[in-house]
Amino acid sequence: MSEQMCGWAGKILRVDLSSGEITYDETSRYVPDYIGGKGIATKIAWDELRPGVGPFDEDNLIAFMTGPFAGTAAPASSRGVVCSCSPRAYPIEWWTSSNIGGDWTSELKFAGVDGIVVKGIADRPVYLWVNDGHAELRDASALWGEGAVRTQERLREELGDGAVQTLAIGPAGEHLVRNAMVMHQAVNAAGSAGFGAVMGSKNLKAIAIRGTGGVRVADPKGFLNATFYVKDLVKSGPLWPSPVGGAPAPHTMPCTATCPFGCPNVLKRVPQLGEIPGSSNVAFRCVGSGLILDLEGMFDYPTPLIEDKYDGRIRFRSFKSLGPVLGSQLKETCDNLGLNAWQFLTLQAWLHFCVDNGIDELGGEKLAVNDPDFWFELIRKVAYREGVLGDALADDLMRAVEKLDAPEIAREAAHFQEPMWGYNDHRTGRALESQPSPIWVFNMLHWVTDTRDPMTYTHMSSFAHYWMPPHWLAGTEKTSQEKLKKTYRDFFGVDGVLDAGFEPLDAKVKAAKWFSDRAFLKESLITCDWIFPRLLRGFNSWEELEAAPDYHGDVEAEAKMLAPLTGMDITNAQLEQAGERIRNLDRALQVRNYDRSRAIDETGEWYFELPEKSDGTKLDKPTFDRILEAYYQVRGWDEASGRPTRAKLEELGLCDVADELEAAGQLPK
Amino acid sequence: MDEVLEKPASVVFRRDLCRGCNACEYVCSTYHEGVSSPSLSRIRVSSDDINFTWSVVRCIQCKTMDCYYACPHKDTALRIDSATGATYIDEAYCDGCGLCVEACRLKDKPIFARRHDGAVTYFKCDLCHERAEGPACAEVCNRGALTLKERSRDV
Repeated sequence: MSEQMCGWAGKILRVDLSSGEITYDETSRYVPDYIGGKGIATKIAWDELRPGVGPFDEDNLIAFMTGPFAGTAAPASSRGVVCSCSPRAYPIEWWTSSNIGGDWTSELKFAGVDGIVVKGIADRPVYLWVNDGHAELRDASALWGEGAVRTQERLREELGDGAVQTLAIGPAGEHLVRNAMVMHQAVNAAGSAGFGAVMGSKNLKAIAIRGTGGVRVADPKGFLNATFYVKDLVKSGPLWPSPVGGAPAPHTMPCTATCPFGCPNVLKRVPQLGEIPGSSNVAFRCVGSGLILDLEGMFDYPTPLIEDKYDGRIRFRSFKSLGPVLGSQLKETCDNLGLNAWQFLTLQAWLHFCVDNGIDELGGEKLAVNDPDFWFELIRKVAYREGVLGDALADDLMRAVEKLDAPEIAREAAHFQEPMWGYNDHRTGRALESQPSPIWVFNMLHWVTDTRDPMTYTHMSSFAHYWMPPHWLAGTEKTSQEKLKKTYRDFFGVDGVLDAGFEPLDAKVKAAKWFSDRAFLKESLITCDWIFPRLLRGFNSWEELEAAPDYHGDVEAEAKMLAPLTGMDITNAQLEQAGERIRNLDRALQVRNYDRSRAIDETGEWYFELPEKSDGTKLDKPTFDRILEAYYQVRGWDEASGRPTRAKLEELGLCDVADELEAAGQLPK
Repeated sequence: MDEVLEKPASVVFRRDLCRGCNACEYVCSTYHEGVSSPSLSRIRVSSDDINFTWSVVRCIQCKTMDCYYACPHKDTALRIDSATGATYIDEAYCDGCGLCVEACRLKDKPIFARRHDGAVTYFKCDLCHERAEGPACAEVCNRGALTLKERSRDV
């Protein structure tokens, strides 16, 4: 049966490091209901990850997943996702996911495998070698201690094949640093969930993959036509999602196979790709959560604008960075150590804050924040858990302030830096970038109900923002706000989705639910955050845009590609229901394993009492409660507990999930 | 003018514009084989994703057509497309002798072997001569690293 699958490879590799046993699971057991990626991983976690299992426990599982599009011509749809119980998540170490680009996904599919699920702990360092469907564990003692990038080069040398694709951890993962990354190639990482430490706890140094097979396509002509249609629909590169397309700039690179664009986001100094006007010589490549922005000023992490607005108690200052060259070197140092450099954005701001407020020593160490050597040294100490400060910061900021017994003002500042779940602000409009209302209202609902910084939905819900002036995009003033609002009104079938403020509430929560369901679908398919779903379309020119009656894209693009790829008669409605199913299963898992509830969601509320940085909008607790309840209602979640109801679970075919929650006393009455 | 060789249409590659997205391999193999697979593609991307260099191996559709002249079954196994002038292999008539590969002057030979039931046949770029839209690889390349150059009669 699995031999005949199209789109999916057909097999999921199951590895038990404790026993050394390697088995195969049939992908057909999980699709099309759970699609792939996070969907399948979460289903496996529901079935096998028991309550009480922590990130470093033998029974924790870590899943390296692809989706049905990986290794195919579907544009920008070959990314992967890593899922596990996260050591970074704070205060509860819970199940979450981390998206990652690169070519390991395609290679795995060509090797005949859709995903790798690892549990147990090896008795010595090992790496997993997947070679065209054959898998074995090999000794990695000689690689232990090696850097995350160098490990990959050594594996290619050892295996004698430069085409081998590798995932590896560095010293940070080996030392169970809660911000340790899973690195892939030189610039891709599953960075922000600490999954490098999960691999380290399992003595799993690396995964090496080689595949010479292919992904079967049910209707090649129909599929290729669909992919060309979708490419034409998108037109412009993902960052920034300008309404008007053009050829991607030479200094951009795709993060993953078949991306016709390339992110001017994050990266790495690659002089051979040429100079970038007005910036350091940095190659731009989207890396998923993990690596750092080392452009001029980007180390300049802006902090919540609360200096004058939050009764003056806590003062952050935005400091001048070390500059693009040192910033880039710092990032590369982090990469090689397998440490999430993104964390240093917040650490840097926080340590500067400490010094500004008279705390010039922590854990017995002088905070020489203006000395570059201090930073290189600190990064190394964190990765190896050296010294009191290094060891504390290796547990991430929220845990570090407790371990360091930091002064109250520093603790409070840490909470501003990582307002929810131990993650730094992003797309709330309070720190890194502006997100005028109502954009931040959608993003707030994602933040408070999810398990980490919800980048994968906020890219989507923030999309309209890039079309809304004032914006830094040249030409954005040519977009008609009326046409934009009309497009959203037509699509959602309700007026006022993009109106500033919280009203009409039904429109806001309906859109937020859709973004959320599509985000879980996206993590399962697995498509690019910046390109899908295509609610708005791209244009060839500003003139064409100005002449258009509206900006409708085509959110059925994924279904139009998936049907001819897999040969399944699958519609957009079915895909969206799968997204909702996966979203609810994830919530049910959070409820069963971590007692997730409305009370936990509400712990993020305080942050949105701070004003949005561009329009000053904010909310109070009663308003928040009203929005949250309306959101629960549209989700089919119980208003009092924030938990999925039996009716909703049954509607999604999750009767067994409802039964299990009921037996545990966790199903709303 | 008989000595003037005609330059067949071809796909031109610009190394400086390629960023290694592999889309050309995936569309090529999907179009020709119904399987998305670099191993079945007629154009092969070679990537060094640690040092950031990319190149491709593909048939340049040279005007000397050494593969064509080397083939013992020319015009049945190794053919010339009348519209584009491109050489292509009809695998139904290929006996797997490999003379075309030997004759090709490129360092990285863009003619690939396929093994089935003990037998070997070869396949190479056919410029998608049966595809109305032209070569799929050039169509999918958004960066202009692969473009179609029309048939010409230059000296």
